[in-house]
Amino acid sequence: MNNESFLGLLAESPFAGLQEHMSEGDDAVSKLGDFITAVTEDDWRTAAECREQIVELENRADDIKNNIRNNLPKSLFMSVSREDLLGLVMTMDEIPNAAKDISGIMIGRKMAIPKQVKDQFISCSKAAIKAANQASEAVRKVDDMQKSGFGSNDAAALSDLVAHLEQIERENDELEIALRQELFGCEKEYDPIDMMFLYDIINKIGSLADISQTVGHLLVRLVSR
Amino acid sequence: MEIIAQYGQLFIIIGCVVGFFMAWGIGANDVANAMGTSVGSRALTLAQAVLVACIFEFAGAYLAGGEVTSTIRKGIIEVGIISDTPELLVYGMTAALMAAGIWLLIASYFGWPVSTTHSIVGAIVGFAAVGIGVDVVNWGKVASIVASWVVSPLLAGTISFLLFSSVRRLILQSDNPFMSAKRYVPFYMFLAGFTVSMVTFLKGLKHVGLSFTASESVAWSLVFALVIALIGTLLLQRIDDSIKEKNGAMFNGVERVFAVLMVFTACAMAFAHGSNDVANAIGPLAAIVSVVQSGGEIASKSTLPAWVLLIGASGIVIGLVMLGYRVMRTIGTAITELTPSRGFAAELAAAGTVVIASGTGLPISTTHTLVGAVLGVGLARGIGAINLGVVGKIILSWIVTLPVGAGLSILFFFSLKGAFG
Repeated sequence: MNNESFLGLLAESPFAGLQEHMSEGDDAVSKLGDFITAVTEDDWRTAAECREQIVELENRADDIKNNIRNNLPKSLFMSVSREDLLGLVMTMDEIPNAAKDISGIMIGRKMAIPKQVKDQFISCSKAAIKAANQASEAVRKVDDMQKSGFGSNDAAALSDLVAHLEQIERENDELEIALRQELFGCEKEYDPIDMMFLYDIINKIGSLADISQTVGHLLVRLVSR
Repeated sequence: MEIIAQYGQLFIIIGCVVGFFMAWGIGANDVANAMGTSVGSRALTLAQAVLVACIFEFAGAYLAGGEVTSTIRKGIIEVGIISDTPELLVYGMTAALMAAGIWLLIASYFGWPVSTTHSIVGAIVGFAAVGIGVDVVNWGKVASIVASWVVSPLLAGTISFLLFSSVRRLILQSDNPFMSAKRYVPFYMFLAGFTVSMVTFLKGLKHVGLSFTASESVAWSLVFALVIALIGTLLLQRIDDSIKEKNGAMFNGVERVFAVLMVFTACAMAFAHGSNDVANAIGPLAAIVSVVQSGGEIASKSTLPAWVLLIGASGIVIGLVMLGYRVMRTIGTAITELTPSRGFAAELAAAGTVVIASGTGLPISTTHTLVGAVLGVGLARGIGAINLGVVGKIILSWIVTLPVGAGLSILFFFSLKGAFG
């Protein structure tokens, strides 16, 4: 009889939040691209600005993540599995986290990229960023799919997106291997500790692409039923 | 007998007052639920919803409310057993109306989702079983009513599941959803028109002097439904495939096509609600009136006077205009995940189920049927998330309402018996 109670039946759809979160992560990663460009150009002022924005985006993503998580009680009946959804959000949240980590270490150590590997470093990070952008695209697609009731056409479109994402991740892998080889050739010329951290950063950039790929796989799992 | 002769007029006046109050309560609160899916999905503006509700609640109550009214009036109680003491039936029905009305008032105040139907059925069974005797209750009928409370949400859920699945397959997932929507939506309009008119032709209209055979009913319903579909098709022609603002929400062409459909299903829903729920108010009143007017004779054959239906129908409309529109306004401003393509499926399924129940004379809860229908759309993966906690709350209120309605009605029954002797 009470009307709020009846319409209270319809809980807030988790998909809107998902997209919102991913869009913050996407922005943070794109900012990371600007950050890396600034660092390689030795423009620390721009880098510091970018870093600030990344931190802010990461905070916002955290808030959205908590919001999604807190609004997913067990009593919620959803068109997708609750566990899959939570797993996806946790994985998605690693994207802005990685951007924050990478920019933090680089700015903290005023990290200089050896000129021999500079171009390779940039193209490797660009591939990782592209992977994250692609993952964001896939999340948007899932939001659309929800609107059309998870159709088979949509599922096909999503697997295309994810296939493309895998390809980007492979490219990133190859670029990373080449970058490591190049760096191996010239690492003796630089401070060993700096090099240690640079390897760490390369690792983290590589994992950004990995996480993005995992997001794609989790999305496919989420909608397949 | 003497009591009836002595206080007959008074009984009728009291009955009219409490019956009208009950109908007013249904209009003030329950109608908003019936219209909630339309207003909540922004398919109708508040003004449109109130207008649709006024016309179709009235029409439903007046044209198709007879069957359920007769169940409430003489189906639950074996009136033959108490033909020697007809005043007991008058006390009881008055007590039942008072009990249900007051319980609804309390529940509305606290915001509990209780059903008008469950209150009145609980109240009638209560006074009859405790106040008069366990034998006077037609337990077979009561069992079938209670069973219908379980079956109706299930049925509505199944229908809405199928409806939304068909929408998904035929429209949302087609290569050109907008063109498919324009092509297939008139069919759903036809379905809405056919169901409502079929029940009306078969079961209603007798008291307005029209009677149809089954085949005549089918023929007229087909004609009526075709006209509805035709009007709908014409309305759809004005819609283009672009994203536009409507009642404060952004809709693409497909959803705006469904919004037109929802105008029709909203009419069906209001009609269905009127046809089923008016009985909760006037069923007991009809019983009182028939006892008094036949001079104390419990005539189970006497027909339902049209003015009794009118009291119920106008009570609902007045309650709606006085208070119900406010509740609807609240719904219309709340954020909802219900889009017209989903809302229609729930609404049409619920309306169909309720109107069929009305035709078979089963008093069911419109709100519970709608809940079942919304769950059906959710099961078809049409709704992002459904709060099962609310479903639990609704089921709980269902279980609580029966004993409370019964208890209150027993209390009033003995008070009235004491007062009039």
